[in-house]
Order: sequence, then structure tokens, then C-alpha cells
Amino acid sequence: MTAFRPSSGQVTGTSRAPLGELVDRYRLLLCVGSGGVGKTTAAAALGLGAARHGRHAAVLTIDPARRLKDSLGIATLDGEPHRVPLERLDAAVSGSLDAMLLDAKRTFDAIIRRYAPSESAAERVLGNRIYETISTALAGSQEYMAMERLHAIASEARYDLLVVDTPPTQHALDFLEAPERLTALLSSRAAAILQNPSSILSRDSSRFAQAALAAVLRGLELFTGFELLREVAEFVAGIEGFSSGFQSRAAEVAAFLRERDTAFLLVTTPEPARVAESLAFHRELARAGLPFGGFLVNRVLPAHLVEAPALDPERAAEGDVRLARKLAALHQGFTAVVEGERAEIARLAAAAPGAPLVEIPLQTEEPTSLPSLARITDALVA
Amino acid sequence: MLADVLQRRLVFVTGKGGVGKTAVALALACAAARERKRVLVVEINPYGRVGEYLGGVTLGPEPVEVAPDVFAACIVPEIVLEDFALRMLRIRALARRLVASQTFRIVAAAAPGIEDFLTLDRVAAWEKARTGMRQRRHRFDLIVVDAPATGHSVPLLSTPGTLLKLLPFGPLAGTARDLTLLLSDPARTAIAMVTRAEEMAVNETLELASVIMRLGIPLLPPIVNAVSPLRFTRAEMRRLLADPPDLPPSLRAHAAIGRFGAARQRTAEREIRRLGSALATTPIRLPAVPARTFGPAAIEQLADELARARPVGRRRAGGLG
Repeated sequence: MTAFRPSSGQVTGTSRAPLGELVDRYRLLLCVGSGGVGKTTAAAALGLGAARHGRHAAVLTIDPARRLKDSLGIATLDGEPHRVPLERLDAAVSGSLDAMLLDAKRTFDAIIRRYAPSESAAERVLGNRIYETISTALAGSQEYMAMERLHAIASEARYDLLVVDTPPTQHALDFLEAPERLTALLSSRAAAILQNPSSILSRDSSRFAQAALAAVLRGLELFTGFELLREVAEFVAGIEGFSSGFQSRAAEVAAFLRERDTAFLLVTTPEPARVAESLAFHRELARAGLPFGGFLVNRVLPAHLVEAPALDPERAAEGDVRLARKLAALHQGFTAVVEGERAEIARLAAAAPGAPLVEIPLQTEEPTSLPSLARITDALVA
Repeated sequence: MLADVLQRRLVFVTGKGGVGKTAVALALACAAARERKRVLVVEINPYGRVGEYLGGVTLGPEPVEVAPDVFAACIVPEIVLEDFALRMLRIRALARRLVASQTFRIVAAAAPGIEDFLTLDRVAAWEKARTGMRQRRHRFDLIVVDAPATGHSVPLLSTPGTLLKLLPFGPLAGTARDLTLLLSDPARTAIAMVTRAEEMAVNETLELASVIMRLGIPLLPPIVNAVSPLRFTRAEMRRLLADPPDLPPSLRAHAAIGRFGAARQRTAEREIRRLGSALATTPIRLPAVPARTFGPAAIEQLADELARARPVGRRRAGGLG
């Protein structure tokens, strides 16, 4: 396996090919953005760029989109790595690209097994009826598990570069906060409450209040149709013994996401609402001390389309007037769109002066094959 | 389209993230208010944009009038859990204290679907609410729910049915039965799916539609948002897409833009056609409303478009209206 390449430090670049540096030198790139902006495609295109530059890369996704399989030319996308047939694209490619799914549930199971004091303790937790709910319902736990899995893959050092497509979230950094939520569950306070449910209320609460609480909890149990409290108690008791292992693991993951050869790329479209979200993500990254790699602005209307001067349809030949009017209207409409998009892109640039900002031109079709994905790669990595 | 909506009492607007659900929900509400309906817009998303789009209104759990005959409220998990606790405890201060505790929230999170169930129950209560002399009138004629994106709307809408299957005689079975009846009643309820004329968005819409049909909830024709209003005829498409483009010298400088527009239109038409034939219906097209910031003026504009939008038959690509 290829050795770990040293980090190159600060990301620099011009707006021409600013991501070449990241793709060539970094070990971990995370694509973050709201739903529908094209994170999965951007991640795949970056991975492809790295492979074409001779690196051994893997693209890791949370979303098993069928189109991603098509655009990578692979038949299966699951928890195991699948090799992308790059030879179909160009025969001389020296790098490689694998694609795999970050399977959150499986990761959670693996962690339980790893930190459980015994096989039977692990089985007790995994067999608990609320384990599944807890492992999926707690906001951010899916995202966090994806990061756990990522850490495990990175530790194996099988790849030069991992490109990750993070799940769409309102809060980009949900996955970083998830361990805190999980450890809150495992705190001694939770355990105490399960021995004495009325301790949810403060100590001086009246007997009446305590009786009332019991009624609410009974209501929740009736809703779920099983002995919720007892199951939660069993779950907490089962998992308590290995919560410290889990906590130190969470700290490791947090540190790993801040390494020097890691970068978070913010993927957006030039629409005002998406740009506003992206700017909010950018502030969140800074607050969390996470390395920002640049903005990827997807689906930008190509400015060259409106370079021709405005059209005067009345000067067209008689048979072409209707078409000329439509072309003039299209030109006018596109000009307005291009101006609006320039203004939005300028807002992104102003938020992070000097940071890479790459535009991916709007295509007339979404990428559904390796060659069409390669066109996006070209836009990202010259 | 609008007539379809105006007949109902409860319309859920859902779709893939980023397609414009909130904008369409507000435009529906606005268009209905113009038809002298009292409308309530309900937001089910703690990070929703309804308040922002209405020009910076802060929404709360109780409906407030945000425009003549348009009311808005939002439902967040803490509020519905507090409702639930209150139902059992009957003392608000106590309920509030209980819900504020971290442990209670963890236990509640372990009760799958309870938040969704309580959210629907709250919407249903608004649907039932009456007002006026002798309570003769509905408090709201129409409730438009700005529902979460596809991934969360499906569990939300399936909760009553799932609960009924699990606990056919439980204490909440009565409520679950009422909710199931409300959701499946074509005279009262419908789902409006919002999408875009793009491959991914259409795929997700078709998957969503099959789940909703399985749940037995009535569907409105899908709304394709942000369709380019400019359309080339088939003959024009042929000329623009020919290689080289079949254009006189006076138009050649604009060949690139014409080809790009024609290719986009071809893709959009193909996707709308695929959507329509898979669902055996005619999708509603809404043009893109150019707005730097989406606000009340853009909502009014989109409402105009909705009022104008009507199924236009399954026409061929390039046919000009």
C-alpha cells in the first residue's frame, strides 16, 4: 500500500485550478452542503481527479444514489470498496478509485462489539429493542457513525486520499456534536433516573409531581407498546461499562477531523438561499476550528453564453423573427441570471478572501457516466 | 390545480430538499386566501424558512395572522412533547419542567414516532377547530403543511398506520384511527409533491409517490417548480440542435446560448413527460420566479402562476403553448 504522504500545509491557489493542490496533497476531503446541491457528484469528481493524478483514492458516500453507481460505472455500492473501472476512461491511468458506502448501523454495531467487556454484554445491547431506535433516532448519530467508519478506514492507510460526501444536514456539524449526545445518554444521571424515574424532577418535587411523572412515562410506554423504561434501563446498564472507551474514541475522531491534511469543502449552488446556508456553514467550521478547503459552486450558468451582444430580433429575416425574439429573451434572461450569480459568488469570495472557490458549470444533463463525470472533474482539477 | 387544492381542508407540501417546497406552500396559501379562504400555514421544521419568506415573522406554536386571512404557526418537538405531558399531567409548569429535562427527551426519543404522531395530532386539531357564533364555522378553511423533505415526510405520514397495526386497542388507537381516516380521506386531505424537471428530483418524486399511494393518502398532480418559461417549438429545437446549428448569419452569434437553452428544454421536457406518464397524470408547471430574496412579493407572483397553472395535456416536447 502507498505510504502516507506528508501534508503540504496551507491551501493556496488561484480561481483557475485551485483544487488540484487539495486533490494531490491532502489525505481527507469532506464535502459539506445542504440537500440537492450536488455533494455526491462533487465528491466522486474529486476522487476521480485524484486517481487521474496517480493517487489511490476512495470516495465514501452516505447516500446510495443509483446515479452515482451509474456515473462511476460500478454495479454495486455497499459497505465494501468497489473499484471504479477507470481504464474505460483512459488506459494509462496510474492511480485508482474505489467507492464505498459508509454504513452507519453496521459501524454502531462494530463499536458496541469493540468496547463491550464481553461477547455476552455486546449481545445484550445489540439485542435490546430500543438499541436500534437509539442508534438511529438520536439526531446526528448516523452522521457521527459515518465519521467513525471514516476514521477506521483512514487508520488502515489503504488509500492516499479519502473523499467523503457528508449527509445533508441543516447543521453541517451535527456529526461532531453527536458523541456528546450519546455520552449524555450514558451519563450516570441517566442511569440513576432509570433506577428511580422520579429523579427526573428535582429532589424537592412533591409526591404528587412524582406520581404525575410516573403517569407520563406510563403514557409513553403505552404509546410504544413495550416496557420502555425497563428497556432503556437495560440498554444503559449494558452500555455503561464501555462508555469511557466510546468517549476517548469520540475525541480521537474529533482530532482526526482537524489534522493538517484534512479539508472541508463547502458545496453550494449560486442560488441566494443556498449561498446563505453555505456562508452559515463556513462560520460554523471556523467556530469549530475545522479546516476550510474552499467553496465549490455547482450549476453556475456559463458566463460565455451571454458574451455575444444583445440581439435585436426586429433585424432578423422575416422567417426567423420568432426564433430571434426567443433568443433575445433567452439572452436577456441569462444575462440577468449570470449577474445575480456573480453577485452571490462574490459574497462567498468576500467571506473567505484568498480561499479556493471553484465553479462547476451548469450542464444540460446530470452526469450519468464516467466521461460525463470526468467533465466535472476537469472543472475542479485542471 | 388550485381548484383541486381549494376543495380540500388539509394539504401537505413535500418533496426533495431544495426544490422549493416552502415557496410553493406559501404560494398555495396566498392563492387560497385570494379565494376568500382562511388559510393556516403550518411549518414542521425547526429550521424552516416560512417566517423568513413572510418578511421576517417569528412563528410560534399558536397561529398568528401574517397577511389578511393567512395564518402561520410552527410545530417543534419540544412543544408537542409538552402537549403530551400536559395531557397526562394537566399542570403546564410541571409538563414544561419534565420536557426540559435531558433524560425525558432521551426516553421520549426512544419511543419511536411519538413526535411525528403528536405533530399530526396537532395539525388534526386545527383541522377540527371551529369558531364563530355557535361554533358554526371552521376556524380554518384550508391548512397547508410545509412538510419536511421526502426522507422525513414518509415516516411522519406513516406513523398513525404503524401505531394502529402495533397497538390496535391501545389508549392512542382512537386518535390513530381518526388520523388515518383524515389522511386517507380524499375529500379532506391531499399531498402536493414539489419537484424539478431534473432526473434525480423526478426519480425521488416517483419513489415518494409509490410510498404515499401504498399508505393510501390521496395525491395531487406533482408540481414541477422553476421550469423555464421560454419554450422553443420543435422546429426551432431541430434548427438549434443541428450540427452545425441551422441559423442565418444574423443569429449565429447566439447559437451557443440557443443550443444550451434548447438542450436544457429537451431534458426538462423529457423529465416532465417521464413523471407524468409514470403517475398517469399531468404535472403542473411553475415558472421560475426571479427574485434576489424570496419574500412576500415573490410569493404573490408565484400565487399568480399557480392560479394560472392548469393541466395542459401531455404535449410533445417543444410544443409552444
